[in-house]
This record gives sequence, C-alpha cells and structure tokens, in this order.
Amino acid sequence: MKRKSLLTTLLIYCTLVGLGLIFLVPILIMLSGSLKIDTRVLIEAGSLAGLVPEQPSLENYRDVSTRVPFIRYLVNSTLITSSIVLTGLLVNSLAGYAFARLQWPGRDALLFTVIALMIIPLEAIAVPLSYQVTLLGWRDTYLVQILPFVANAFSIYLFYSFFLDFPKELEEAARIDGAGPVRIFFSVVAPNAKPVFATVAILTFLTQWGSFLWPMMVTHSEAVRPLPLGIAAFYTLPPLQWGDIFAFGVMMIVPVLLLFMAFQRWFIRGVATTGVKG
Amino acid sequence: MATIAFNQVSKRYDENTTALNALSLQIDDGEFIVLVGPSGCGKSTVLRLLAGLEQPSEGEIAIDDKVVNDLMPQQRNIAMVFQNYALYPHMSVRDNLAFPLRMHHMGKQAINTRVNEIAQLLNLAELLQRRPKQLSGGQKQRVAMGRALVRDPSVFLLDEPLSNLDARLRSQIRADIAQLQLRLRKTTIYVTHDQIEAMTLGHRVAVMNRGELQQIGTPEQLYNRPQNIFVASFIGNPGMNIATTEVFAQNNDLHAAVCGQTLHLPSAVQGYNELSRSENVGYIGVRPEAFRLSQVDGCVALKAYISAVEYLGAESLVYFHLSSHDHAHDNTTWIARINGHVDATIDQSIEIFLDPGAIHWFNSDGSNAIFDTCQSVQPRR
Repeated sequence: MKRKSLLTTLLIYCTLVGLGLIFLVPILIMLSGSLKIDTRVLIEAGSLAGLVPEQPSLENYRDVSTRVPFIRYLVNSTLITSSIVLTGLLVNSLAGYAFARLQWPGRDALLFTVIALMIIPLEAIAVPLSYQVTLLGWRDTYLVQILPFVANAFSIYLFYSFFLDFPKELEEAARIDGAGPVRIFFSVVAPNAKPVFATVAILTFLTQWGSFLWPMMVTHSEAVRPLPLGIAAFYTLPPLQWGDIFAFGVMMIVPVLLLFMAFQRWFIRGVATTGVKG
Repeated sequence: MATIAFNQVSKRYDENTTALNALSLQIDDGEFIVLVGPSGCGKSTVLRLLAGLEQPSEGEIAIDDKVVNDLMPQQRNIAMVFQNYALYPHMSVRDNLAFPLRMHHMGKQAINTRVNEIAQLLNLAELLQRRPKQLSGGQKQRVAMGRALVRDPSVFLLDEPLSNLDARLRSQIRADIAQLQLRLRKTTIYVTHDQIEAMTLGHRVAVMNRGELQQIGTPEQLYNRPQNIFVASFIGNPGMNIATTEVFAQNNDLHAAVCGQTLHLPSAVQGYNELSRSENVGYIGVRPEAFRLSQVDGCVALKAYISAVEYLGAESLVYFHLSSHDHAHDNTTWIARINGHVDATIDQSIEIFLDPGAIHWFNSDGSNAIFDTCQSVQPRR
C-alpha cells in the first residue's frame, strides 16, 4: 500500500515536472537568446547546451531601446491595460452582482444574452466594430483601445457565479445594520470577494497585455501603440535580429510575471472558487 | 421596547409553496417569544418578514401599532442574530460592532464609547482587535449578540443562534441570553427547532408546523394542554405517546380500545362528561411519565411487551408494545419514563399502570384536543 502510494507520488511528480518543462522551456530559450549575440541565437536554438549562453551580454536589451521606442510602448500598454483592468473590475463586478442578487425586470433574459456573448470571438466583430469607431472618430487613440474591452461577458459571468455563492446572510446583516445596496457592495461584498477580483484582474491583464489584432486595426502611430505592436515592428526593421526580439519579449513578460506573483495566492483561490479552467 | 402584531400574514413563494399561512400573533412589549417547530415549518420566515428581509404576500405586520410592511429593514429599528452569526470576515470585532453605528452616522467618539460599553457587557473587551476567524464559536456568538445590541434596537430577533455550538456551551449561552433579556427587557423573538431552548427561554412558545401556527402558550400550557397531536408529540422528550383509539360505552362506563387492549374509564375520571358526549374521539395521548410499574389507586393496568430499556441514570426509558409479536394488532411503540433502574428483559411481558386522568384525547384527525387536562397557566415574566 505504502509502496503504491510512493509510486503514485513519483508518477505525479514526473508528470508535473514534464508539464512544467513544456511551459518553461520556451521562456528559457527566449531568456537565453536575449543574452546571446544575434548570430548565435538561431544556430544554438535546437541544442540543450545552447540554453546556456557562452558569453552572456545585455547588448540586445540596449539595442531594443535604441531601435524602437520601448518605453513609449511600455507606457502605452501599461496605461491601456491597467485602465481596462480597473474600470473592468468596477463595471463587471457591479454587473455580476446585479445579475446574481438584485431583482429587476428582464434580468434573466439579459443574463442569457451576456452568457451567449461569451462565445463570440473578437475576430468576428472586429470589422464592424472598427467601422463604428471610425465613424465616432476614435481611431488612433487610447480610448479606442480601452472602451470596447471594459465590459466583458466572461468577467461578468465569473463575478456572477462567485456572487451566487456569496453568503446571503452577510448582505442581510448589513441591510439590517442600515446599509443600502451600494454600501453593501463596497463595504461587505467586495472586500470578501478578493479571489474573484484577482482572477478577473489577471485574466483581463493577460488578454489585454498580449492584444495585437485590435490595436493593429485601429492605431497607426507609435504614440498610442502597445507592446505587441512594438515587437512586430522589428520585422519591418531589417536586419531581422532575433536577440533583440527575444530581449523585447523578456521585457514584455516581466510585468505579467510580477503581477502574477503579487496576486498568486488570490488567483489560485479564485480559480478554485469560480471554476475557471485552462 | 415595542409591541408586535402579525395580522393574517401569509408568505407564498409560488402557487405550490406556502411558507406561512395566515399567521395572527400578538407579542407584548418586553416579551420573550420562542418560535419552535421542525425544519421548513415557517418559523424563520416569520423572523425574516418581521426583519423586512422578505415581503409578506398577504396581511399586515405592525411594530408599536405602526404597519411596517413597506419599511426597509433599517427603518424598523430591529436587530437580528443569524444562525451562522454573519460577522463581517474582513473586519475586526471592534469594526463589526461599530458597523451598525457608522451606518446610522453616529460620531466617532460616540461609536467608541458605545462599542466599549457593549464589549464590557458581553466580555468582549479583549477580543476587539481580533478578526472573526480568530474567534471560537462561543466568542463569535457573543460578537453577533453585541452587534445586534449595539444600536439599542426595540426588537431583538434571534434565528437559531445556538445551533452551531456544542451542547455544554449551548446551555451556558442559553442561560446568558435569558439573563440578558431579563436585564434589557427587549421584545425578543427567538427561533429554534430545539424544544429545550423553547421551553427554557420563552415567556410564551409558539409551535409551528407546515407554515401554520399550531399553538401558542406558556411552556406549561404546551406541555400539559397540547391542542393537537402535533404539539403533543413535538413538545416533550420523548414526546407524547400517540395511538388510535375507539371509545365506547358499556355497562354505564366508558371504555377505550387501544392497540388490542381495553382501558376502563370510570365515571370519576377527569373529563368523563366531555368524553362521553364526544362522538369524534380518534387518538389517545399519554406522556411517558404517566406510566407506573406499580399499582396506585385509580390506575388502570395494561399488559406491556418490553422491546427495549434505556437506563439514563436518574430514570429509565422503557419501550414497549401493547400487543405481543404473535398477535400484533398495532405495532405502535410506547415509551414509559420510570424513575431509577428498571430490571426487565426484552420480550418480557409486564403489567404497566396508567392514571386515566392523565390521558389526553384528540379528535379523529388529530387537530383538536377533546378537553383540557389542566388549569390555565399565566405566562412567566
């Protein structure tokens, strides 16, 4: 019995290590490539020994800043993504709460519509949306990159399913204590819903931080373009220098990793409580 | 301080679900009323309707003669302790106690003074900085009580506040609640499914079943004069023995056929006249302590087949049938509460004695007692 459990544990660990490597290796290749001179990046990419650069250098990182306005892209991405995340948390949590807890005419029909909207990808509505924002004169602005993504059906659904299971007694106690619906939401519900707020924040951040298609369609100046368009800019700047692209990639994922590490505890709890997978 | 009146109040969730049916109930100022009944009987609905957490489908609810049907919970000046305490997990004990006062825009200094007063009253002073998850069950219960008391409400509602505590703590806090109510004289409605809590705490106890009020009275009235077989079997532990019966006259005396045996009811027995006049007797009820193992003047004898004996220290519970296994007319299990130890074996047949005056009689659908067996009792206050 004991041996069996040891074997099972070993098997589980081997599987987990294997899975971990699958996710980790591309990042290691990128990190190692970013420290190599450009000519060695592709040559050594297929070998295990190539993961360790012979003469590591930060040259590629310096190049990134001189070849493209990296700081501009970083500021743009930070501004756009954090605006979407913060306003999205407010709007979607209030919507999720209203669907889960308040009684109003048409609620169920609207909830059904919101859930149905989750299956429609951006690609399907990108062209009419682009046409619409052009009519509004919003092209090449921050607003056009923020506003369409604030209200999000999936985020609303995550909040909705979390609030459905939120203990009603806490809200009822607050009502008896004299709080109104808005006060109850901000003073009692939201402070006890950190896991779902963290989950939605990280998922929104990840989606928006890597957003490429929409900014590509609606922006043309570097002044408002985000990081993913910056990395694409290297393809239009010959010679194609993979070391620079890898260095840009590393700098692009650092904020994501920092954010994840900061909210890891809440994120894991949120994934567990809201049933998000993948 | 407040009087409360429910006037034909009903609550229906849909056509098939009636949580409360035409409840009429008057509660005096400073009275301690306990609502008791099995799960789903509508007792918590009464509390939630009074608190304003739900709206009645019909009828009026009045506090101090003012109809409150359309008032928000915060406008009714009531406080409520929830079954799971409903303490705000992200706040310290101090903030939990202060929250209702902040909602009523009380000044910071006044809030501090009031919170400290309540903390003193409920021995919470050392716990003020702790979070709810750092408290034991009993401490959480005290904080929940404190949060209810802090606003000095006129009505105090408690929804099964002791059900999450262990037995020892429950009896201790039960006593604390009784003492606190006596001291503060707040009109209190207490919901429980535990009849010991109901009998020990309430000035009056309201027994509910399937959304209807079955009987309201002092604990003594409920125990000694149950108005129907539900109250008779629900109040008391073990509850009243209930069996079908048929009463008939023979040789100028009354007799009752019970589980294949006949009880002789002499004309001197209490309630004889009502019993002889009634043509609708359907059930007999006997409290377990009405049985004796030795003959006493006026008692009638029954043959009992013992099925189990539970020795509880000061007393024993004797489980028996009135028919032997071979000639089972009725498989009703009867319970007798006998002082001290009972030396008997299973399947042994013995004579068991019963004072006919202690028998309760109910009509054929069990909805009404044929006559009261005791004098009326004033509520204790």
